[in-house]
Amino acid sequence: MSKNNPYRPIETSVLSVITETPTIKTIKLQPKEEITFKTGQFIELTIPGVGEAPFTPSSRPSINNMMEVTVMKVGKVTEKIHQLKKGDTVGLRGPFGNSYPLDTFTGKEVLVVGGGCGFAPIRSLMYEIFERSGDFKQLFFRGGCKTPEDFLYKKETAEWVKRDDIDVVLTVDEGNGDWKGKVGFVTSILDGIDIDFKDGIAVVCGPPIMMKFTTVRLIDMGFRASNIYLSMEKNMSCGIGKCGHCRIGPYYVCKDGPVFQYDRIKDYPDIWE
Amino acid sequence: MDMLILNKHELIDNIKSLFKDYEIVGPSQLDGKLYFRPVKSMDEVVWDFVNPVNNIKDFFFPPSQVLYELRQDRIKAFEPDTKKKRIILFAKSCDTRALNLLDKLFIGDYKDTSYTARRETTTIIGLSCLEPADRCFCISLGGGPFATKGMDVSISPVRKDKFLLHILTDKGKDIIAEQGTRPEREELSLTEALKQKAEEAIKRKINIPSDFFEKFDSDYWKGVSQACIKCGICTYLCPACHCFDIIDEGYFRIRCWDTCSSDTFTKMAAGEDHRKQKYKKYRQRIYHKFQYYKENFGEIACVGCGRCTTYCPVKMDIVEIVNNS
Repeated sequence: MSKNNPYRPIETSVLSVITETPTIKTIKLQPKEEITFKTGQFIELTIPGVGEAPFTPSSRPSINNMMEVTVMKVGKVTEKIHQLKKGDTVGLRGPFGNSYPLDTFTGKEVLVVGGGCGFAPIRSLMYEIFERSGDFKQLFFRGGCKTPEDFLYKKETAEWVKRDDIDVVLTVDEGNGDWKGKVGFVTSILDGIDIDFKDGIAVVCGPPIMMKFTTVRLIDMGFRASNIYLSMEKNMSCGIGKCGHCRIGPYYVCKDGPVFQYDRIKDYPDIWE
Repeated sequence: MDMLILNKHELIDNIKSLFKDYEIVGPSQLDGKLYFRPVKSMDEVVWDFVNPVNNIKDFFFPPSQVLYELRQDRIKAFEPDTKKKRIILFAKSCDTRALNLLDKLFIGDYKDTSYTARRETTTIIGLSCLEPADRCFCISLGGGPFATKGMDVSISPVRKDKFLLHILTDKGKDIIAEQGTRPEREELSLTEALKQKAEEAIKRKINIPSDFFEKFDSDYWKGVSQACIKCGICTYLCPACHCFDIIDEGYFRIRCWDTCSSDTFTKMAAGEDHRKQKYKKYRQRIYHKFQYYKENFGEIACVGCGRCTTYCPVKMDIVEIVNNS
């Protein structure tokens, strides 16, 4: 957090820009002051003269002099972020909100489900999980994208598949000639997971529609609502629980989230929209 | 704390002596309407009035303020100029009570530095409400025309040109000279009688139904919000509403008031919007005030000043809407 004033962005250099897919880039950033974040928290990135938008870092939380954000081009600010080059200066403030409570996952079976751009926070989480994979009883990852080209972090996910401490299945909505994995929505690869539904933990991050159907499926499978952790995305503006834009019921998604146990928010309307 | 009886001219002289060191804000006429605004002399200040159009939150959480100039090569912060301290004159109890509500949000987790600086450097002289307006309903929300919460000094009339002053805080003590007399029993009972008369004049009551929370999913909200034109007046003039936006105009980052009725309030860059329909926006305003603020901070975020009803272009009435829910 910046000295005293939570609205003050920290000058930040762009170290490199990686093109992940035609609409998604990862920006490697170096803030002029060290920033420590916990996996699941988010930051606000400023493009001078354009505006500010929230992103969850996709990088390793234990590195505090560098941070990566993975950004899909959808609007005014993200379009400018896609034009950034090495050496440009941006502003960064945060981190804000809560994080994935990994300590409470200890000793349990953990299923992580990622979809599309939701791989960004998930990658940060997976770095953290792999650093302490012995803490968990068993690990599962289920990930899906529209097409094989849409997968983020192809190199990393290929390595996850090879690991023997996690059971990984990937799927695409539409395959192509080279695709050897499954075809179908991510919900279709949840079947047959040998996990202790009553006590298992599920972490879900992806586009709203994917989170909705995945959560419904997980509940059907027998997961407890309180054991499903969702990374919610709303119109976070101030990041500090004041401006009101991201409110769901009594919660500020920016301050009380962005990570919510499903039972806390399930009774509020339109959470998936 | 201390109580004093002052004549009107003693009180005016005391306030006049403060103009040198303080910026004075008070109820003052502008184009035929009354506003809280900076005044240069006591001649501009109105004594007998029902609530001005605006409320005193404007002086802590202004409608628009530059936070930063953000350029590639430098970040320049803009802090409010608090070198000259400020006094707000004749605030009514509804507005000062609302300030206490805003304190919980702005001075709670993540202290808002500009709000806090303005709070610390502002002294509030409240004035009891002798003739509340027909639209007022402060009593049913735990307030009252002679309540003093949020004031540093409160002024209540005793009789014509004679006032009872309560010095409520150290900040209040700093601006009121030792003068006048100690109140006598008779003077206190005269003020008490005026208080009772003012309280009796407030006929409107907000009664939050016991099943208010369960009414959330009712079609009722579609019906009552139909007239709303999403202008946001109710939120901008509300002393307890506090939603804002952070926008960049060129290289200037501006914090400005926003309203939950706006079409862009909850809309995200990719088009997702969890409160798209008008009735959901209006319902959010009502539940934020009467349910969620209470869950978050222990108090309802409405003080019963009635401005939202008075100035609503389509005459939506928050008391009727809540009571009938």
